[in-house]
Amino acid sequence: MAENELYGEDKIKEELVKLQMMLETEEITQVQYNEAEGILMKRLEEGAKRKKGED
Amino acid sequence: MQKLKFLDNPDLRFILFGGKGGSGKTTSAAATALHLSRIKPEKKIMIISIDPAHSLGDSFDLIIGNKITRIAGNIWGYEIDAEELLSEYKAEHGAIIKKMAERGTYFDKEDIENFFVMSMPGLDEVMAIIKIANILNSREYDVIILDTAPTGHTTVFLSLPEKMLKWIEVADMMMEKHRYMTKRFVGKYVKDECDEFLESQKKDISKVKKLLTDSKTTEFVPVTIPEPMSIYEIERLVQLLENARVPVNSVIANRIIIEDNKCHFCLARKEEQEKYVKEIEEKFVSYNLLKMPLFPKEIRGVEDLTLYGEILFGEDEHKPYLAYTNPLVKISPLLQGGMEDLLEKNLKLIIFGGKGGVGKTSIASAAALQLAQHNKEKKVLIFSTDPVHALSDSFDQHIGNEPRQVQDGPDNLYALELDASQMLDNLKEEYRGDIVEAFDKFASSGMDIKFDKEVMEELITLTPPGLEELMALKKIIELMKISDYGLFVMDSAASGHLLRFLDTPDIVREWLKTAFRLLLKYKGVINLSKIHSVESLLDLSRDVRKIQETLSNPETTEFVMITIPEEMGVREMEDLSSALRNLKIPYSHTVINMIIPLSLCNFCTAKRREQQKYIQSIESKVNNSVIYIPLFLHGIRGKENLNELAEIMFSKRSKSKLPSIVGKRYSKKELSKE
Repeated sequence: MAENELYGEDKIKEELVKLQMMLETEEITQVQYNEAEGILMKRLEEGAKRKKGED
Repeated sequence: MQKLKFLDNPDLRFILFGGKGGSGKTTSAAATALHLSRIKPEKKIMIISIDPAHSLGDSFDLIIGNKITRIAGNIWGYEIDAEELLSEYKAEHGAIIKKMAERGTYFDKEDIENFFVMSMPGLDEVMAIIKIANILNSREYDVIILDTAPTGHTTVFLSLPEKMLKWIEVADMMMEKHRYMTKRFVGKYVKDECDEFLESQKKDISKVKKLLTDSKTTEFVPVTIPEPMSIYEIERLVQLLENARVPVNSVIANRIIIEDNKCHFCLARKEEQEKYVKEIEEKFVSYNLLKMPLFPKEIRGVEDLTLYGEILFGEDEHKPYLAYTNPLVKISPLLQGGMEDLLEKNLKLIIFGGKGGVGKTSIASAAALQLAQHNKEKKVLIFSTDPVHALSDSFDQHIGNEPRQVQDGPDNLYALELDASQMLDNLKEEYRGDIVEAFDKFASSGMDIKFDKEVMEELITLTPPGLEELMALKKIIELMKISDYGLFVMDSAASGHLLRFLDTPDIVREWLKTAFRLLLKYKGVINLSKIHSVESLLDLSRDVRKIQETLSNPETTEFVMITIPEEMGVREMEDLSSALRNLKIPYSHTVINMIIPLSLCNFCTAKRREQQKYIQSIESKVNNSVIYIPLFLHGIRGKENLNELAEIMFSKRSKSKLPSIVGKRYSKKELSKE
């Protein structure tokens, strides 16, 4: 379950949308956005790898 | 059926004047007010302007502004500032609206309030009509004369009562949940201030609706001039009014040349006009047609307006109205500025803007033609955002809502008449689908959100008129993003509309921010990535940011101001330039259009002398390149005419072709047809 929270594709996509909204509402700066986006992208890749491993 | 004589109805309470910008509707409205005040001294008369670029005060030669101001004797004037009305409305009814919103949906009051009333562009106009309804209902004034905004705007305005009723319907639906719950838990429901508010609003709007269509008390007077575009617009307006059952009895045909002198120019213009006067006579045969002459000077101030009114009401047809003497005047030569630098710059967007009726479409079309001929490697798209399109007339071919190549033009020239209302309908459909989907998911989780779903669905159907500008903007952003057009030439709507268009990016960004804040708040309840429209909104937000950057970048954007040497032209130019400065939109060319050639003709000289004053005033107010365009002897239609115009605009050298406006006078031989 916790794994799904961290690496689930849906979850990560939702986080990304949230992040984009925060950028558009100027809650976060472009630098903060880039940083957080980087982390999420890594998680997405990691999730994909794990899924492949499971298969 | 024989129509009533002009405004010859003792029960008239509401008289509306409408037409294309520059056709003289403000003058006609103001003259009517003065005339009625004279023949009905016992009545209280109110004249209201809803044109975002007000000119009522100019017409009376006094300051009116956004408050009821006594003009003279029994006449009061009011230039409605719709935005201010909106804030007043908020202050007055905000609490009740919040309460209804809170009762109505699952979302909390702060969120829904922002969507429901506060930040939607265009609601200000709804407020204007409510205000007029209130003034009418108060019966404090016996007759209300309304100077409407240019035609495109008027058509939108006329649909407002319908829209307002829709708004009330949604609000009522929001209340329904509360009524249902109260009945269920308390056993009965007692009406409160929210119900009363809705009922009173509904009553007011119904009164406006009834009033607009009541032939006993209301009359709409379309004003046209003998020019093809003006006739076309008025024809469409009259059709729309007839369909909406708004009473129309008379049509004013203004600025008809009746001079019968030997001036070559006057005669040529008169001859050119005759076919359009005939067209007006044929098209409006079933109405009282009131022909008004072209005056050698602007109609300004009570004295001029009274004279105008006397002719309009047929009191003294033969009154000598040409007050000119001493035609010999020294007029300093004009130094043609030229806009050839625009041909060399690597621009992305050129906006042509100005007051209604100054010749924006002709000048934008001529510029697009020249730009395409000069930059063969670039695809050039000219588009119009005015709800009343004139590009088809200008290029003398049908254009429509999809970009199409201009016939007989260079291969790289395309034109498009944006139909923003159609785009808005599509968007609404898209969002409606999304909302249904999102709420169905909700519902399957067992929550009772039936009311919320209905309310949200209906909220989307509310269409404030300003959203159409947003749609136009969105379409342009899309075209900039995905198409291979290298240059966009915008033929914008009349200045009031244009100002709003230019403000739209800021308003939209604010609106989107509110939407995102709301969605972020409910992120636990709805999976954001599953709602398709969230993606569209994010795209829109990014695109709007991009267009803000494009608009204020002198490397990519230029604004070309078009004006005419008249008081109202100069005023609107000033308003528009200060808005451009605030919005940081680069502006370095001013076109003064419709300059009367110099001649020995008394009429032309009197007119030109008056123009000269305004030309100097414009020159002193702008510190950029000024381009002078003569008043053509004929309407500008088709490629040949447009090229002729472009040659004047884009080359200083063509000065020699224009002796008429830059200094030389016509010879006596040229002047006389004998």
